Amino acid sequence: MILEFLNMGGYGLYIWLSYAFAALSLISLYYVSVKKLNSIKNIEHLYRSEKVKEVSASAQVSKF
Amino acid sequence: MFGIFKPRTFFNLANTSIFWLKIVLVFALIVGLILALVLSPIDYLQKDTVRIMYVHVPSSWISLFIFLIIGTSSFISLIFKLRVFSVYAKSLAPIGLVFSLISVVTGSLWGYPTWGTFWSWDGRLTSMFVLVLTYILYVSLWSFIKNYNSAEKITNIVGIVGLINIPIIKFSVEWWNTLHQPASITLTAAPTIHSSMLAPLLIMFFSFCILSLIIFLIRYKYEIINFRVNKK
Amino acid sequence: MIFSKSTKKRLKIFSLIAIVASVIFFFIYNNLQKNVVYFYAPQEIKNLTNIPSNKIRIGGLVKEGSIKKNNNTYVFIITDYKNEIFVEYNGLLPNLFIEGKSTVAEGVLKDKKYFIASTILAKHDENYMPPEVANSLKKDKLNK
Repeated sequence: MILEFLNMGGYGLYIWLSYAFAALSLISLYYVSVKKLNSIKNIEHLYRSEKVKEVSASAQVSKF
Repeated sequence: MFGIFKPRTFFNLANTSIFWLKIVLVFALIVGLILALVLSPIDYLQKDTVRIMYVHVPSSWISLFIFLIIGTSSFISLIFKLRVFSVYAKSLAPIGLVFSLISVVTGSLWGYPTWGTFWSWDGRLTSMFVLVLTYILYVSLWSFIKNYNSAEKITNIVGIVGLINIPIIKFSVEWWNTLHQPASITLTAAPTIHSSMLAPLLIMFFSFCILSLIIFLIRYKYEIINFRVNKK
Repeated sequence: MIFSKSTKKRLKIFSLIAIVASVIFFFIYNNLQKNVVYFYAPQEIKNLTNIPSNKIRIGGLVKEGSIKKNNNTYVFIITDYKNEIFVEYNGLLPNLFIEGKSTVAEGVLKDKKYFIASTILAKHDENYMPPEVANSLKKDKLNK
């Protein structure tokens, strides 16, 4: 029965390839987007800690 | 008046809504896929290949719709200097690109068993190919031009010029003799798709819309933070 | 509405460009309409003044009961209800190549009535329905 379902009346190859391509490309788009956001969040975090250090190191750069 | 367009308002909205959107997406996608792959009947001529349509048609609609937004946003950004609209367009473009690619690939995979060919240069297929190229150009211009201001200006122009292609894609099947069939769902007439096939199509379209929205919010967040980090 | 001076200027420039672009678009569209024909209907073939020697496509309905098979060679009629053309084809037919449905044939014209196809494509229409619905529709048609 499962084989019959996968076969899709002989058109299984085209149907599953279509769904697989759509799924793979959408999932990778999602993960790339999330990864990009996370990477920049880390940068912002680093930037903040650097800024704190800089400020504490020299009070003169208060303009910054 | 433009309060909702302010990044901060949008930002807060994004953070709270992504969670709920994900829950809606999972439910819609499960229902949609079960309907599309199991419960919906076969077509009297295409047999099971009609199931490819449930991915192909929503992807095409979304890729067209997103480009419509990109074009309009580019116009608003370029003329009225509401520059946040460029950020909307920039965040949407990769989503539109992926959906246009899905549309072309699934279309070919449907075309081979139905038409007898993967590809043919008729009006619809050619104009859709041009849309994919426009998306690639738009996305790559953003990544290749390092200066933010000039990248913004050039992509705005590409977005507006690319807008011409949208009515061509839409009406290609009416203006010219094409291999591609005319639209089954129009605003003016009753759909020529049986209701048992219309249901999975619309649910899949809804899921793809929600997914696009989620990815858009994530990318928009990235672009805004990126912009601020670069500015400092 | 009140816009700043520079916005007004940009709007003016933009509308000028838009007008020029739409004129260009209109000309391109008109030219495409005349020159870029994906396929000819049989009626259009009839109206041609000379027979093109290069590869062309013709499209229309496969006339019911017209498909004849001889070894691997098919001969059938493509019609648009105004004019008919015999098509000869040697090869495999796509699954959706059905009598009474649309098809697009790629090949060369021997004369205005005879076309030698090298590729046959099946054209699907915008109707999607389950087999049961199609059958009942067919019955309704026969009863009328």
